[in-house]
Amino acid sequence: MAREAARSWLPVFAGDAWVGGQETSVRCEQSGGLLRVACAGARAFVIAPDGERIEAEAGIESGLSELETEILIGPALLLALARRGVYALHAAAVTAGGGVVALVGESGAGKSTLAKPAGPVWKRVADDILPFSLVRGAPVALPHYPQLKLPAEAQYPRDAASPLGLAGVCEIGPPSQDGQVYVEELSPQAGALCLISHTVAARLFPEDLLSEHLEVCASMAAGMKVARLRCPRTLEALPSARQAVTDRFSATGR
Amino acid sequence: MTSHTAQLQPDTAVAVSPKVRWREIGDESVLVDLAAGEYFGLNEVGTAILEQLMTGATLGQVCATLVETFEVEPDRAWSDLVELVGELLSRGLVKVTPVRGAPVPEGGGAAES
Repeated sequence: MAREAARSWLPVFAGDAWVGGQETSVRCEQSGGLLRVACAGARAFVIAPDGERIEAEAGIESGLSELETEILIGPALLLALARRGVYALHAAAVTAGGGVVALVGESGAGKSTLAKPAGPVWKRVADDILPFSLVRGAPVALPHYPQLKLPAEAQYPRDAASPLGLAGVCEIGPPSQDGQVYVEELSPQAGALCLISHTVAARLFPEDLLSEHLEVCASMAAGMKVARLRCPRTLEALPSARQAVTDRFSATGR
Repeated sequence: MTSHTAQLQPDTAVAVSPKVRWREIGDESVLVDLAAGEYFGLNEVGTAILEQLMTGATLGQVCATLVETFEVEPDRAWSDLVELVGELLSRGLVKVTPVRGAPVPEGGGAAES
Protein backbone atom coordinates (compact mmCIF):
# COMPACT_ATOMS: atom_id res chain seq x y z
CA MET A 1 0.00 0.00 0.00
CA ALA A 2 2.83 2.39 0.90
CA ARG A 3 4.34 1.81 -2.52
CA GLU A 4 0.99 2.47 -4.21
CA ALA A 5 0.54 5.68 -2.23
CA ALA A 6 3.91 6.91 -3.51
CA ARG A 7 3.01 6.34 -7.16
CA SER A 8 2.72 9.62 -9.01
CA TRP A 9 0.04 9.89 -11.66
CA LEU A 10 0.37 12.21 -14.64
CA PRO A 11 -2.81 13.75 -16.00
CA VAL A 12 -4.06 12.61 -19.41
CA PHE A 13 -7.59 14.02 -19.39
CA ALA A 14 -9.83 15.81 -16.93
CA GLY A 15 -13.30 17.00 -17.83
CA ASP A 16 -16.90 16.04 -18.33
CA ALA A 17 -17.74 12.94 -20.35
CA TRP A 18 -20.72 10.65 -20.90
CA VAL A 19 -20.64 7.53 -18.75
CA GLY A 20 -23.66 5.25 -18.58
CA GLY A 21 -25.98 7.79 -20.15
CA GLN A 22 -25.09 10.70 -17.91
CA GLU A 23 -22.50 13.43 -18.07
CA THR A 24 -20.03 13.09 -15.25
CA SER A 25 -16.62 14.38 -14.24
CA VAL A 26 -13.95 12.00 -15.53
CA ARG A 27 -10.21 11.95 -14.89
CA CYS A 28 -7.69 9.75 -16.68
CA GLU A 29 -4.08 9.54 -15.50
CA GLN A 30 -1.03 7.46 -16.34
CA SER A 31 1.97 6.15 -14.52
CA GLY A 32 4.59 3.85 -16.05
CA GLY A 33 2.18 2.32 -18.56
CA LEU A 34 -0.65 1.96 -16.07
CA LEU A 35 -3.81 3.93 -16.78
CA ARG A 36 -6.16 5.06 -14.03
CA VAL A 37 -9.70 6.19 -14.76
CA ALA A 38 -11.76 7.87 -12.06
CA CYS A 39 -15.23 9.39 -12.04
CA ALA A 40 -16.78 11.59 -9.38
CA GLY A 41 -18.61 9.48 -6.78
CA ALA A 42 -17.02 6.16 -7.71
CA ARG A 43 -13.89 4.13 -7.05
CA ALA A 44 -11.08 4.45 -9.56
CA PHE A 45 -10.04 1.63 -11.90
CA VAL A 46 -6.47 0.87 -12.91
CA ILE A 47 -5.73 -0.74 -16.28
CA ALA A 48 -2.58 -2.85 -16.71
CA PRO A 49 -0.08 -1.77 -19.39
CA ASP A 50 -0.91 -4.80 -21.56
CA GLY A 51 -4.68 -4.32 -21.10
CA GLU A 52 -5.05 -7.80 -19.63
CA ARG A 53 -6.29 -6.69 -16.21
CA ILE A 54 -8.55 -4.02 -14.73
CA GLU A 55 -8.51 -3.52 -10.95
CA ALA A 56 -10.86 -1.48 -8.80
CA GLU A 57 -8.50 0.63 -6.71
CA ALA A 58 -10.15 -0.02 -3.34
CA GLY A 59 -11.05 -3.65 -4.11
CA ILE A 60 -14.46 -4.97 -5.07
CA GLU A 61 -15.34 -6.81 -1.85
CA SER A 62 -18.33 -4.52 -1.33
CA GLY A 63 -19.54 -4.98 -4.90
CA LEU A 64 -19.83 -2.40 -7.62
CA SER A 65 -22.29 0.44 -7.65
CA GLU A 66 -24.30 1.04 -10.82
CA LEU A 67 -21.99 3.89 -11.79
CA GLU A 68 -18.90 1.74 -11.14
CA THR A 69 -20.30 -1.00 -13.37
CA GLU A 70 -20.85 1.60 -16.09
CA ILE A 71 -17.26 2.83 -15.69
CA LEU A 72 -15.93 -0.74 -15.78
CA ILE A 73 -17.70 -1.74 -19.00
CA GLY A 74 -17.32 1.77 -20.39
CA PRO A 75 -14.08 3.76 -20.22
CA ALA A 76 -12.07 1.19 -18.23
CA LEU A 77 -12.81 -1.67 -20.64
CA LEU A 78 -12.37 0.60 -23.68
CA LEU A 79 -8.93 1.65 -22.44
CA ALA A 80 -7.98 -1.99 -21.74
CA LEU A 81 -9.06 -2.96 -25.25
CA ALA A 82 -7.14 -0.03 -26.74
CA ARG A 83 -4.02 -1.28 -24.95
CA ARG A 84 -4.55 -4.51 -26.91
CA GLY A 85 -4.94 -2.77 -30.26
CA VAL A 86 -8.74 -2.90 -30.26
CA TYR A 87 -10.62 0.39 -30.54
CA ALA A 88 -14.36 1.02 -30.52
CA LEU A 89 -16.64 3.09 -32.69
CA HIS A 90 -19.71 4.81 -31.33
CA ALA A 91 -21.81 3.04 -33.91
CA ALA A 92 -24.72 0.86 -34.76
CA ALA A 93 -23.75 -1.94 -37.10
CA VAL A 94 -25.38 -4.33 -39.52
CA THR A 95 -24.42 -7.17 -41.77
CA ALA A 96 -24.87 -5.88 -45.29
CA GLY A 97 -23.05 -6.45 -48.50
CA GLY A 98 -19.69 -8.08 -47.98
CA GLY A 99 -19.60 -8.05 -44.16
CA VAL A 100 -20.31 -5.75 -41.26
CA VAL A 101 -21.03 -2.10 -41.99
CA ALA A 102 -20.65 0.28 -39.06
CA LEU A 103 -23.13 3.17 -39.06
CA VAL A 104 -21.70 6.26 -37.39
CA GLY A 105 -23.04 9.77 -36.99
CA GLU A 106 -23.90 12.50 -34.58
CA SER A 107 -26.40 11.87 -31.81
CA GLY A 108 -29.87 11.79 -33.35
CA ALA A 109 -28.59 11.16 -36.87
CA GLY A 110 -30.62 7.95 -37.06
CA LYS A 111 -28.00 5.20 -36.52
CA SER A 112 -30.29 2.98 -34.44
CA THR A 113 -33.31 3.56 -36.68
CA LEU A 114 -31.35 2.68 -39.80
CA ALA A 115 -29.82 -0.40 -38.13
CA LYS A 116 -33.15 -1.97 -37.18
CA PRO A 117 -33.34 -5.49 -38.63
CA ALA A 118 -34.94 -5.53 -42.08
CA GLY A 119 -35.09 -8.51 -44.39
CA PRO A 120 -32.86 -11.56 -44.64
CA VAL A 121 -29.58 -9.69 -45.21
CA TRP A 122 -29.81 -6.55 -43.08
CA LYS A 123 -29.15 -7.89 -39.57
CA ARG A 124 -28.12 -5.77 -36.59
CA VAL A 125 -24.95 -6.76 -34.75
CA ALA A 126 -24.43 -3.65 -32.58
CA ASP A 127 -26.40 -0.61 -31.47
CA ASP A 128 -24.01 1.62 -29.57
CA ILE A 129 -20.46 0.33 -29.36
CA LEU A 130 -18.59 -1.60 -32.06
CA PRO A 131 -15.03 -2.68 -31.26
CA PHE A 132 -12.77 -2.94 -34.31
CA SER A 133 -9.22 -3.94 -35.01
CA LEU A 134 -6.78 -5.04 -37.67
CA VAL A 135 -6.12 -8.78 -37.80
CA ARG A 136 -3.21 -9.63 -40.11
CA GLY A 137 -3.89 -6.36 -41.90
CA ALA A 138 -7.62 -6.98 -42.40
CA PRO A 139 -10.26 -4.79 -40.72
CA VAL A 140 -12.51 -6.78 -38.39
CA ALA A 141 -15.46 -6.03 -36.10
CA LEU A 142 -15.85 -7.66 -32.69
CA PRO A 143 -19.57 -7.58 -31.92
CA HIS A 144 -19.46 -9.37 -28.54
CA TYR A 145 -19.60 -6.17 -26.55
CA PRO A 146 -22.50 -5.40 -24.17
CA GLN A 147 -24.96 -3.16 -26.01
CA LEU A 148 -26.59 -1.24 -23.17
CA LYS A 149 -29.31 0.16 -25.45
CA LEU A 150 -30.53 -3.29 -26.47
CA PRO A 151 -32.55 -5.82 -24.43
CA ALA A 152 -30.91 -9.17 -23.62
CA GLU A 153 -32.69 -11.01 -26.46
CA ALA A 154 -31.42 -8.50 -29.03
CA GLN A 155 -27.72 -8.76 -28.05
CA TYR A 156 -25.33 -10.39 -30.51
CA PRO A 157 -25.59 -14.10 -29.62
CA ARG A 158 -22.76 -15.42 -27.47
CA ASP A 159 -22.21 -18.43 -29.70
CA ALA A 160 -22.25 -16.41 -32.94
CA ALA A 161 -19.08 -15.90 -34.97
CA SER A 162 -16.48 -13.29 -34.03
CA PRO A 163 -14.50 -11.52 -35.31
CA LEU A 164 -16.46 -10.59 -38.42
CA GLY A 165 -15.01 -8.96 -41.52
CA LEU A 166 -15.59 -5.21 -41.47
CA ALA A 167 -16.73 -4.18 -44.95
CA GLY A 168 -16.64 -0.51 -44.10
CA VAL A 169 -17.97 2.45 -42.22
CA CYS A 170 -20.91 4.59 -43.31
CA GLU A 171 -21.31 8.01 -41.75
CA ILE A 172 -24.85 9.35 -41.69
CA GLY A 173 -24.45 12.90 -42.95
CA PRO A 174 -26.84 15.82 -43.22
CA PRO A 175 -30.17 15.05 -44.90
CA SER A 176 -30.32 15.41 -48.66
CA GLN A 177 -32.40 18.34 -49.85
CA ASP A 178 -33.71 16.80 -53.06
CA GLY A 179 -35.32 13.67 -51.63
CA GLN A 180 -32.71 11.40 -53.17
CA VAL A 181 -30.44 8.89 -51.42
CA TYR A 182 -26.68 9.24 -51.87
CA VAL A 183 -23.82 7.12 -50.58
CA GLU A 184 -20.62 8.97 -51.42
CA GLU A 185 -17.24 7.37 -50.82
CA LEU A 186 -14.77 9.42 -48.78
CA SER A 187 -11.07 9.78 -49.55
CA PRO A 188 -8.79 7.59 -47.41
CA GLN A 189 -7.74 10.69 -45.46
CA ALA A 190 -11.34 11.77 -44.80
CA GLY A 191 -12.12 8.15 -43.95
CA ALA A 192 -9.34 8.04 -41.36
CA LEU A 193 -10.59 11.28 -39.81
CA CYS A 194 -14.10 9.79 -39.74
CA LEU A 195 -12.88 6.69 -37.87
CA ILE A 196 -10.87 8.83 -35.48
CA SER A 197 -13.69 11.24 -34.71
CA HIS A 198 -16.18 8.44 -33.96
CA THR A 199 -13.83 6.40 -31.77
CA VAL A 200 -15.17 6.14 -28.24
CA ALA A 201 -13.03 7.33 -25.30
CA ALA A 202 -10.21 8.63 -27.55
CA ARG A 203 -10.04 11.73 -25.33
CA LEU A 204 -8.71 9.46 -22.57
CA PHE A 205 -5.83 8.12 -24.67
CA PRO A 206 -2.27 8.91 -23.57
CA GLU A 207 0.25 9.90 -26.23
CA ASP A 208 1.35 6.37 -27.13
CA LEU A 209 -2.24 5.28 -27.68
CA LEU A 210 -2.97 8.37 -29.78
CA SER A 211 -0.07 7.42 -32.07
CA GLU A 212 -1.16 3.79 -32.34
CA HIS A 213 -4.78 4.80 -32.88
CA LEU A 214 -3.79 7.12 -35.74
CA GLU A 215 -1.81 4.30 -37.34
CA VAL A 216 -4.67 1.78 -37.07
CA CYS A 217 -7.32 4.23 -38.36
CA ALA A 218 -5.11 5.28 -41.28
CA SER A 219 -4.39 1.66 -42.23
CA MET A 220 -8.06 0.72 -41.97
CA ALA A 221 -9.24 3.68 -44.03
CA ALA A 222 -6.70 2.82 -46.72
CA GLY A 223 -7.92 -0.76 -46.87
CA MET A 224 -11.71 -0.50 -46.70
CA LYS A 225 -14.56 1.75 -47.76
CA VAL A 226 -15.66 4.72 -45.72
CA ALA A 227 -18.68 6.50 -47.13
CA ARG A 228 -21.22 9.16 -46.24
CA LEU A 229 -24.96 8.54 -46.52
CA ARG A 230 -27.24 11.46 -47.32
CA CYS A 231 -30.95 10.84 -47.49
CA PRO A 232 -34.23 12.34 -46.29
CA ARG A 233 -34.87 11.86 -42.57
CA THR A 234 -38.14 10.01 -43.09
CA LEU A 235 -39.27 6.46 -42.39
CA GLU A 236 -40.27 6.15 -46.06
CA ALA A 237 -36.65 6.69 -47.10
CA LEU A 238 -35.30 3.86 -44.91
CA PRO A 239 -35.67 0.97 -47.43
CA SER A 240 -33.91 2.98 -50.14
CA ALA A 241 -31.18 4.01 -47.73
CA ARG A 242 -30.59 0.41 -46.62
CA GLN A 243 -30.47 -0.75 -50.25
CA ALA A 244 -28.04 2.01 -51.20
CA VAL A 245 -25.73 1.13 -48.29
CA THR A 246 -25.91 -2.57 -49.15
CA ASP A 247 -25.08 -1.85 -52.79
CA ARG A 248 -22.20 0.47 -51.98
CA PHE A 249 -20.54 -1.93 -49.55
CA SER A 250 -21.12 -4.96 -51.76
CA ALA A 251 -19.14 -3.48 -54.63
CA THR A 252 -15.66 -4.93 -54.90
CA GLY A 253 -12.46 -3.00 -54.32
CA ARG A 254 -11.82 0.40 -52.87
CA MET B 1 -1.14 39.43 -41.55
CA THR B 2 -1.07 37.89 -38.06
CA SER B 3 1.81 37.94 -35.59
CA HIS B 4 2.50 34.34 -36.58
CA THR B 5 2.74 34.97 -40.31
CA ALA B 6 4.58 38.30 -39.95
CA GLN B 7 7.77 36.48 -38.96
CA LEU B 8 7.71 34.18 -41.99
CA GLN B 9 10.33 35.01 -44.62
CA PRO B 10 11.83 33.03 -47.51
CA ASP B 11 14.88 32.17 -45.37
CA THR B 12 12.74 31.00 -42.43
CA ALA B 13 12.87 27.32 -41.49
CA VAL B 14 10.60 25.65 -38.96
CA ALA B 15 10.91 22.57 -36.77
CA VAL B 16 7.96 20.27 -36.22
CA SER B 17 7.12 19.75 -32.55
CA PRO B 18 8.07 16.35 -31.10
CA LYS B 19 4.46 16.24 -29.88
CA VAL B 20 3.24 15.84 -33.45
CA ARG B 21 2.64 12.52 -35.19
CA TRP B 22 1.94 12.50 -38.86
CA ARG B 23 0.63 9.76 -41.14
CA GLU B 24 0.49 9.93 -44.91
CA ILE B 25 -2.58 8.33 -46.49
CA GLY B 26 -2.27 8.35 -50.24
CA ASP B 27 -1.45 11.91 -51.33
CA GLU B 28 -3.00 13.39 -48.19
CA SER B 29 -2.25 13.01 -44.51
CA VAL B 30 -3.53 13.22 -40.95
CA LEU B 31 -1.64 14.92 -38.20
CA VAL B 32 -2.25 14.50 -34.47
CA ASP B 33 -1.21 16.90 -31.75
CA LEU B 34 -0.32 14.50 -28.95
CA ALA B 35 -0.35 17.24 -26.35
CA ALA B 36 -3.90 18.37 -27.10
CA GLY B 37 -5.33 15.16 -28.56
CA GLU B 38 -6.44 17.09 -31.64
CA TYR B 39 -6.34 15.84 -35.23
CA PHE B 40 -5.93 17.74 -38.49
CA GLY B 41 -6.32 16.65 -42.08
CA LEU B 42 -3.84 17.93 -44.66
CA ASN B 43 -4.68 17.91 -48.36
CA GLU B 44 -2.16 17.09 -51.08
CA VAL B 45 -0.55 20.53 -51.02
CA GLY B 46 -0.43 20.66 -47.22
CA THR B 47 1.13 17.21 -47.14
CA ALA B 48 3.80 18.25 -49.65
CA ILE B 49 4.55 21.35 -47.57
CA LEU B 50 4.94 19.41 -44.33
CA GLU B 51 7.11 16.80 -46.03
CA GLN B 52 9.47 19.53 -47.21
CA LEU B 53 9.49 21.38 -43.89
CA MET B 54 10.50 18.19 -42.11
CA THR B 55 13.64 17.98 -44.23
CA GLY B 56 14.72 21.39 -42.88
CA ALA B 57 13.96 23.25 -46.11
CA THR B 58 13.44 27.00 -45.85
CA LEU B 59 10.08 28.47 -46.79
CA GLY B 60 11.66 29.84 -49.97
CA GLN B 61 12.79 26.35 -50.96
CA VAL B 62 9.39 24.89 -50.13
CA CYS B 63 7.70 27.58 -52.20
CA ALA B 64 9.92 26.82 -55.19
CA THR B 65 9.02 23.13 -54.92
CA LEU B 66 5.32 23.95 -54.81
CA VAL B 67 5.58 26.13 -57.90
CA GLU B 68 7.33 23.34 -59.78
CA THR B 69 5.22 20.42 -58.51
CA PHE B 70 1.77 21.95 -58.67
CA GLU B 71 2.40 24.43 -61.50
CA VAL B 72 1.01 27.39 -59.56
CA GLU B 73 2.04 31.04 -59.56
CA PRO B 74 4.74 31.89 -56.99
CA ASP B 75 2.43 34.40 -55.23
CA ARG B 76 -0.27 31.77 -54.83
CA ALA B 77 2.22 29.15 -53.58
CA TRP B 78 3.70 31.61 -51.07
CA SER B 79 0.24 32.62 -49.85
CA ASP B 80 -0.83 28.98 -49.30
CA LEU B 81 2.48 28.18 -47.62
CA VAL B 82 2.32 31.12 -45.22
CA GLU B 83 -1.30 30.38 -44.39
CA LEU B 84 -0.56 26.77 -43.44
CA VAL B 85 2.67 27.48 -41.56
CA GLY B 86 0.97 30.36 -39.73
CA GLU B 87 -1.81 28.00 -38.66
CA LEU B 88 0.69 25.39 -37.48
CA LEU B 89 2.63 28.08 -35.58
CA SER B 90 -0.52 29.40 -33.90
CA ARG B 91 -1.29 25.90 -32.64
CA GLY B 92 2.27 25.30 -31.44
CA LEU B 93 2.77 22.42 -33.88
CA VAL B 94 5.90 23.97 -35.39
CA LYS B 95 8.32 26.63 -34.26
CA VAL B 96 10.65 28.94 -36.16
CA THR B 97 14.25 27.80 -36.05
CA PRO B 98 17.23 30.15 -36.26
CA VAL B 99 18.59 30.63 -39.76
CA ARG B 100 21.97 28.94 -40.08
CA GLY B 101 24.79 31.44 -40.11
CA ALA B 102 22.50 34.39 -39.49
CA PRO B 103 23.10 36.71 -36.53
CA VAL B 104 20.58 36.21 -33.75
CA PRO B 105 18.46 39.37 -33.59
CA GLU B 106 17.94 41.06 -30.27
CA GLY B 107 14.86 39.90 -28.38
CA GLY B 108 14.44 36.55 -30.13
CA GLY B 109 14.71 34.66 -33.38
CA ALA B 110 11.86 36.19 -35.37
CA ALA B 111 12.93 37.99 -38.51
CA GLU B 112 11.53 41.44 -39.13
CA SER B 113 8.81 41.71 -41.73
